[in-house]
Amino acid sequence: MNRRTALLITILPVLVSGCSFFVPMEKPQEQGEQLLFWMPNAISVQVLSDWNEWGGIESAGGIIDPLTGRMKKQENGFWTVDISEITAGSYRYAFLVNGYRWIRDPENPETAVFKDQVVSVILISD
Amino acid sequence: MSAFVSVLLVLLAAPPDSTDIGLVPEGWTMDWECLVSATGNGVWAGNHPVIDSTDVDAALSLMAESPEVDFLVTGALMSDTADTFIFRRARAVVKWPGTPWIGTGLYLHDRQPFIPGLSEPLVEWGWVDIDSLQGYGFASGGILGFNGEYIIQQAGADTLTQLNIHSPWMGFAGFSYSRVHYHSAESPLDDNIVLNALSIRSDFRYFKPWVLIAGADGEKDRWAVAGEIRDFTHFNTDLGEIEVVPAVAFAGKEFSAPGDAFVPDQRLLKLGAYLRSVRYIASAGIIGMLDLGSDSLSGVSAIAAMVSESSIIWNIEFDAYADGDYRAMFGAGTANSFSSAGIRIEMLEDSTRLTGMASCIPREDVSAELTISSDVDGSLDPECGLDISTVLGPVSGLIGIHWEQGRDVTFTINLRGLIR
Repeated sequence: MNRRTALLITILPVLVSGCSFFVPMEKPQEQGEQLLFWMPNAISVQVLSDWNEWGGIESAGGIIDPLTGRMKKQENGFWTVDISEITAGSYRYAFLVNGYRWIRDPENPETAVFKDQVVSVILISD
Repeated sequence: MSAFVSVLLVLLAAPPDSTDIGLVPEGWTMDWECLVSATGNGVWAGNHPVIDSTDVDAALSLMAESPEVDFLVTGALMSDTADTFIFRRARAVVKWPGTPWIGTGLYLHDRQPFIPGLSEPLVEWGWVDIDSLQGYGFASGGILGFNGEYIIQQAGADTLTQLNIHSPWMGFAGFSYSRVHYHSAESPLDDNIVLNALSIRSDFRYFKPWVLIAGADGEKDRWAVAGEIRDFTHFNTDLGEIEVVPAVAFAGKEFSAPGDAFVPDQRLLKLGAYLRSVRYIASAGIIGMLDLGSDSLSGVSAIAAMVSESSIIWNIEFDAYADGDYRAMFGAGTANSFSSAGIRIEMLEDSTRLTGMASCIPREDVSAELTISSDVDGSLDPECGLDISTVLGPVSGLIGIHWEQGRDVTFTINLRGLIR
């Protein structure tokens, strides 16, 4: 199998399914000073960042505190966390899904690296 | 180890409200918590599993708080330090009653060096092993909104000092200044690190410049400057607002910092365009980079993600550099409340890898995820992994099984939790 075939296998189901798959979903709520993460089938989501010492990765001997940055699940499949109290600055962050899987914020196009992983960067103004 | 377990048992046996038995003075609250992580790694040999390694780590914290004073003590017991109980951190903070942000404090064994940059940090967490640090610090904050801290620590035979000062927002600007000095007792002078960093953010109504200036006590060629202009140019589209961000990042020939913010002698001009949607679940960004010093940093980076109305999650990432390196990733998947499935293709200069994923939630607190991946260019190198994870309140657990061609099946079991 060459690269072209692999790419076709990947995108063919989408192409034959019609263009409605390309219409973006509307956010059902105001984002405000919150981080939003849409993952309806997650059982737990935490936001770990420079602002909370990555949940203890660096400060507590590598043990991630399972309650640090815990996001709240809404009925519409969104997970939310308030970030209004964080002081101004530039911070890296990522979502820890189900306690073990790292995912960058798909709603944030700015990225950086933490421990060889692509994570998101947020600039919080005063 | 036995002392640690004894303390934990006493704490667990204590009544939930210690004030009932008169041990805690009136007006004080006391609390404790213990983070525990137990991990086992092994292989499937013959017809039975064989455990290769086990690790049990724990961190116990005791807290006491009154309206005027806060105390915290944390110790850790780590398997890789031969079960030695390590005094991790302690602090005493005096507060102005009723205003938690005005106060001063003494810290022991605390604060790793970390200096944020504009995107990548100038000094990275973990640059110095926290277990090798012993020292104390003084912090004060609240007066006119300023706060600062001074920390002096021993790292083995070496000395590490840190000074951090942060200003409040002063109407049109705010700043942070950090100084890190790592003095090696045995190494030549060149191995000492002196780093001063001044970060200035300002608001000129029509645009917001952020500037970072770093240097090593005036030493020639040991300097760096980075800056970007925010909120200057916006374009409205049907999907959302596009912000164009011009940025520069220059560094002297001998500049070095324990982070990824700069490489020596870089002369980097950047122009980024970022789409953030208020209305839709969609984002996109493209950055053009031109390094006037060499080709290694010149290139284009693009990223896009979207969730469609039919719950398809799209993800595209692309990086290409003038020296020929490139990486591309395309992913698509679907998710609902009980399951998800997706496919991802990653292309590097010399390989293309196809990955399929599926997950389900057999119970509301258990997730099972299956991943199968393979190269599509000749060698295949297939891999397969199954991860079953659970989160029950403050406890999370993982059973992971992994197989790749030519190797034994390996497995990991991890249990992590917070006891309080």
